[in-house]
Amino acid sequence: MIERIRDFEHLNQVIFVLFLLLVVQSSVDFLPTPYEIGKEVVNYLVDPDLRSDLASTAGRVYLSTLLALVLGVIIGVADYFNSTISDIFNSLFYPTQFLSEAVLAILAIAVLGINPLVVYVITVISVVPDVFIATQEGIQELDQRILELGTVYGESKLQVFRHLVIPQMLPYIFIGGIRAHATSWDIVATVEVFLALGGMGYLVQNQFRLLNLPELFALATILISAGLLSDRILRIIKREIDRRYMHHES
Amino acid sequence: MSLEVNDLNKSYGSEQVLSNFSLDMAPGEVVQVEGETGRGKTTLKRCISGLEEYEKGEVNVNGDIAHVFQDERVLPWLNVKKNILLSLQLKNEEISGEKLDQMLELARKLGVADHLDKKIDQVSGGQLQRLLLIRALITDPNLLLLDEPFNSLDTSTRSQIYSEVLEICKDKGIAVLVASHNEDLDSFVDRKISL
Repeated sequence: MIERIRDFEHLNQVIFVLFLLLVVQSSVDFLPTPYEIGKEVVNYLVDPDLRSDLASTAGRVYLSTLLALVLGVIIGVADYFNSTISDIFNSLFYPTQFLSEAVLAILAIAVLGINPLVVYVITVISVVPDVFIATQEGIQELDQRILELGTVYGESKLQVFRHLVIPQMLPYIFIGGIRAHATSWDIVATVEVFLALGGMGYLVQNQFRLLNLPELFALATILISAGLLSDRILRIIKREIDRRYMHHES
Repeated sequence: MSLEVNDLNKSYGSEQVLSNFSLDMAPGEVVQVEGETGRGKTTLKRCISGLEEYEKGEVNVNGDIAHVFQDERVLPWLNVKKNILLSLQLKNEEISGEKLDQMLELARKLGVADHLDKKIDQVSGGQLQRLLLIRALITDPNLLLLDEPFNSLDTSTRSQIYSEVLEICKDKGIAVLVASHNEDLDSFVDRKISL
């Protein structure tokens, strides 16, 4: 269920562009030409301030994804040993899956005030179920025959975990990481709009307020391209991991 | 004694697989457990190596156990040498030069020294079974459990491997419990028990 909601959230970027097109449709005269958009993209890309904002957004995305990965894997593995952890986790995180990032942002600002921590809190809360679910899938798919080698030879549980469990779970954890990463781009950009702490979301908001459509389209293009490029790189790494570890049958 | 099993009872639901089973094995002794498929040969080994719980009885092993399974349990992402050394890593033992020499010596004796650096899918079934035996023997066990590991091989290859490995075990004083319903083991075993 959570997974399905996540899949829909990946459409946020597309919905954002469609929304822009709707705005443009009502005032066709202002529709920027591809040349104008391209020119603005180039202008932005050579602008050190824009690069700094993009790096800021990307940094928040990667740090949030990393935090979600660590937290999701810890909870997922702990759930393997004690299933009540899964119940507690679901009761805490499941309701947040029905709230939009905007509502979560307002709630987080009310609790934490306006500070950069809000970006990470909201993003991690929103994406940690992706990693948790993937970790659970990985645990369910562990080859029990291989784990029996650990029972026979494994006097060190740490070594069993390192040599037998982690390599088998890695492809699944990475799937969770890719999902979390994709969703993080949406969430970080959305929350940046609310927090006005810099980053691409804040730039988009400024241009939207001023209805500078060529700049707005250029920023959206850069944001989506950066997200897709980052996603593509992760998928290439995942293919390598799958090729190496994703065949349990011996 | 290398192994003492007293009054072992194991059942799956209402089906009693092992009933008051007892067995003592001296160091270096080779015992064959006979019986048709489903009579509990594998269950006995799994109880001894701690993979199965049992309802009643006692299992005492004097020292370490090594278990070679019926199927080939390897990590396909590791090459042959790393799969062999895995048993030491799982025991958190240092992979010393002495251990590497021991691995090479065993590999030479079993005729697979040229395959150590190959990928798992580049070796044949018979070679892989020899390599899995090295993985078991390199841990210097006191008891080796062989759960019909060579059943997929032809008779002459199977006899050759048994001859090689049991000779090594006798030399080292390793007790060997072999589960098999094949009769081609007769010349290698000290005694047989039936299930």
